[in-house]
Amino acid sequence: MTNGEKVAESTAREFFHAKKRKSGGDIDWQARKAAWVASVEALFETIRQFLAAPVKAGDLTISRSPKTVVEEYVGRYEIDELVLQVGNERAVFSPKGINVVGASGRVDLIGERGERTLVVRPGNRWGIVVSRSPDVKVIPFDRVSLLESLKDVMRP
Amino acid sequence: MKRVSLSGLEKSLSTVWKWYVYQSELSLSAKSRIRQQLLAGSLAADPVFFGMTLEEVDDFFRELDLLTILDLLAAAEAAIRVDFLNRAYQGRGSSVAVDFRKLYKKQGPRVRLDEHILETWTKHRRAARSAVSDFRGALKLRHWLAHGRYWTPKFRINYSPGDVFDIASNLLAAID
Repeated sequence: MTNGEKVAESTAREFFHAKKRKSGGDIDWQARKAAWVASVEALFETIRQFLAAPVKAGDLTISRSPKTVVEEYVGRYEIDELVLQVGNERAVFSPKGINVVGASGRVDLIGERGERTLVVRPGNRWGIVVSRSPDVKVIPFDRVSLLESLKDVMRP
Repeated sequence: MKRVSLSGLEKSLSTVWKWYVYQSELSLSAKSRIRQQLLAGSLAADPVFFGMTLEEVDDFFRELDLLTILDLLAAAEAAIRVDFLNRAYQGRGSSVAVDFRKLYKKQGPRVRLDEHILETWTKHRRAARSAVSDFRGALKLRHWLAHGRYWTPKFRINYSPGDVFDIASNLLAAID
C-alpha cells in the first residue's frame, strides 16, 4: 500500500466513524422499540382505567386490533391499536411510531370528526397536542384532556 | 390570422432547473438537520415539524420536487406552444408548419397540446415518437398536480425532477 493509499484508508475510517456517530449508528433500536411498546401499553391501560365507568355501564366497549408499523431504522413490527366503540361509532388510538420530531413516540386518536395527536416524552409522560402554531402546545394526558379530545373527534 | 400576444415571460427548462438545484440544497440541509435532531432524541423542534414521523418529514420536503416537476412541465408546454405558433404563423418551409397553420386556422388559441400539437409531431417526425410518448406519461402527472391531486392516480407518479427535466429536454430537442 502506498502512502497515499494509507492516508486515504485512514481518512475513510475517520469519515465513516464520524458519519456513524452523527447518524445515530450506535442507537439500540430494539431497546427503543421495546420501551415504545411498553409505553403504548401503559397509555392503553391508563385509558382503560379512565374509561372504566362507561365500560361498566355498558355504554362503551374497548377492544384491540393489531397493526403493522414499518419505520426507518426500526423495521417492521406489530403493535395493537385501541378501539373504542360506542354504538355504531368508533374512535381509534393508533400508534404511529417511535421516530417523531420533538417526542419519543406518537399515537393518533382518530375519530369520525377529526384527529388528535398524542406524544410521549422522556419519563413516559404522555401529552396531547392542542396547538402547533405559532408555538407547539402540549397538555398532559389526564381524564379531562382525554374526555375533551374524545368530544372533539367524535360525533356531537 | 389573429395572432396570440406573446408575453416573452416564459421560463426555460434550465432556469427552472437552476432554481431547483439551489432550493434543493437549502431544503436538504434543513431536512438533514431535522433528521439528526430526531435521531439524537432532541426535544427541541420547529413547530412546523413537531410530531412528524420521518416519512412525513420526507413528504414535506418532497413538495419541492412536485412543484418543480409542475414548473418544468409548464415551461416545456410554453416552449412547445411558442414553437407551434411561430411555425403556424410562417405556415411554410416544412410539412409540419403547413399542418400547424391549418390547425391554428381551425382551432385558434384553443389548440390542445396533446391531441393537436404533439399528435401532429408524431405524424411528421417519427424520431420524436418515443420522446412524445415519454412526455405524455409525465403530462398525466402534470394534470394531477395542476388540478389539486384530488383523485387517486392510476399512473406513474414517482418521477423525480431530474426525470422530468430529461423527458422535457428530449422532447424539445426532438422537435427542434
